[in-house]
Amino acid sequence: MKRASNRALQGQNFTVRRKQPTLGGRGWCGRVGLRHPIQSPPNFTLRNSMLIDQIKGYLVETAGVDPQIFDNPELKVADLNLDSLGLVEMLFEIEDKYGFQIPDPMVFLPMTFAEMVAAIDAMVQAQGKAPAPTAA
Amino acid sequence: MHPVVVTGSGIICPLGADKATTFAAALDARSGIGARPTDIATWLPHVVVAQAAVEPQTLLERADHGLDRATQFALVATAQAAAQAGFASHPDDAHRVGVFVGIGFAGSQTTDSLYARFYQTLSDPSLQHKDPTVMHPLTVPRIMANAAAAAITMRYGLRGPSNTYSVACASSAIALGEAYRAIRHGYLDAALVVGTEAMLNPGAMLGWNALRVMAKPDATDPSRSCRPFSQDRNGFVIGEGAAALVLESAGRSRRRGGAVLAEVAGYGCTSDAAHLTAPSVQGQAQAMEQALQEAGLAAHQIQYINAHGTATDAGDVIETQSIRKAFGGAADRVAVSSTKSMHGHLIGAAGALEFALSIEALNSGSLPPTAHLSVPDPRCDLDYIPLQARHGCELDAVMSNSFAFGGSNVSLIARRYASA
Repeated sequence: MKRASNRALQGQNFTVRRKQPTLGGRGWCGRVGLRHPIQSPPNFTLRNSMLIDQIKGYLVETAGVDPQIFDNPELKVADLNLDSLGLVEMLFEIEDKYGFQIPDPMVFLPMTFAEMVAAIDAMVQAQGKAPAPTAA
Repeated sequence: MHPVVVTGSGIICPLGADKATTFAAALDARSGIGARPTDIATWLPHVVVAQAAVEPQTLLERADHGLDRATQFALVATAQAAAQAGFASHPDDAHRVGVFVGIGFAGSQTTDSLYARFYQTLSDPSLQHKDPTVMHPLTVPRIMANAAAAAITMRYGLRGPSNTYSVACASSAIALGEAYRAIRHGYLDAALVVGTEAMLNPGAMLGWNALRVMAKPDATDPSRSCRPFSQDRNGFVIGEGAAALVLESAGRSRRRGGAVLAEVAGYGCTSDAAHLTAPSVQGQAQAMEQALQEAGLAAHQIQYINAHGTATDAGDVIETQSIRKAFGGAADRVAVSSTKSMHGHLIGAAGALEFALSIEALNSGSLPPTAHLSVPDPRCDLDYIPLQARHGCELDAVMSNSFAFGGSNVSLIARRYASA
């Protein structure tokens, strides 16, 4: 076979991540180069750094953003030079992983990169408490 | 009227990831039909398909990996065609250059993935913490039928019209014909014309399976499953891929100093206005007659026809009768083959692929055969070049036919270009 059996999902850039980390003490997650077993309750700092790695990874590898700019702690979201489509593409990395839709991408534009990550982290935290919609 | 010439072409299809490999395979009567993606095999074990020889993504930059598969095929074929033509991107006359694309099922792969993702998230207990409605934000621009045309205009900086024709199996034959007319009548000086299709996904194949037009797998050799004009034919095999051609006015080509592959000489286009899927002798013959008339050629001046030749019972018999009606006494002297026996039916890409192969035949003097034609159907009694290629032929003009569900009929003629 020339293709994997989950190729139907690849058109969505949807990687099957079921066997990868989930928060809440059920799996593995961590900074680059480290692997920590996570105990519940969810560790805010670890998730924050994981979000940073994930967003940076996407921006550098797929959107072609210069990795050097992340050395600046005052980096603004606007400095990423993403148009509105680019912004929602970036956010899809988070949405895909955590399984919820971020309501208004434009709220991040005036923020620094660090503020955006903190805001997303809070959304992920809140999402963990809300039940996902199910079929009636 | 401005003479229109082809200055480059490119192919990625089940027979090869480039034009030379594809044409060589066709002359060898090699088949690209066989292996199936496992997600199709699971539900449709009796279906054979013709997958592209190479994954298009492996030939593209990472930034293109998110594009729909059909757009990826289109970009691969276009790059080859532009390279052969020496066609520079962002040309000075960008507003005089158009993009004409033919595609049947648009971003079929992305559509299929959308539904697959929704229902999988909904039904998989391990995904219950996820909202099934979360989809990639570029889902719509990937699905839209003009996704390939848009990608090509942006990549090559072309500012003329970018039109997409979705006319089932005739899509890219019509894209070629309409681009030819736009240049011939002076609206444009050049066009990139592309046919592309990527629908080898479970959803689309379930639909094709229900229509009962697909070939049953050959019991001994699945690669022999598509047998046009053969007594034991039983349907077609869906393929995937793309073909691209650079069309230019002879004047633009001359000013650039590029080589010319052929002149586009005639285009006929009709509708049956009769049946959703059944073909019609009258509509097909009229398309061929129109093309001959526009080219100023008599039927006996065509030496090769690349038939639509899908290997359905009705299609092959009607096309035989149509060629007889349009060609009269010359029908018994023209060589005809269906290369779908090898590359399968590329639907929206079929017209461009088969026209490009016809031009290769014109220039090489070698005619690709109708593969697997051991026992001809007595009702299909033309010279269908059975089994083996024919070499050393003297060719002046060739025809390529494309007949679509919905009753659209297209015939295109290419001839050797004699510069004035």
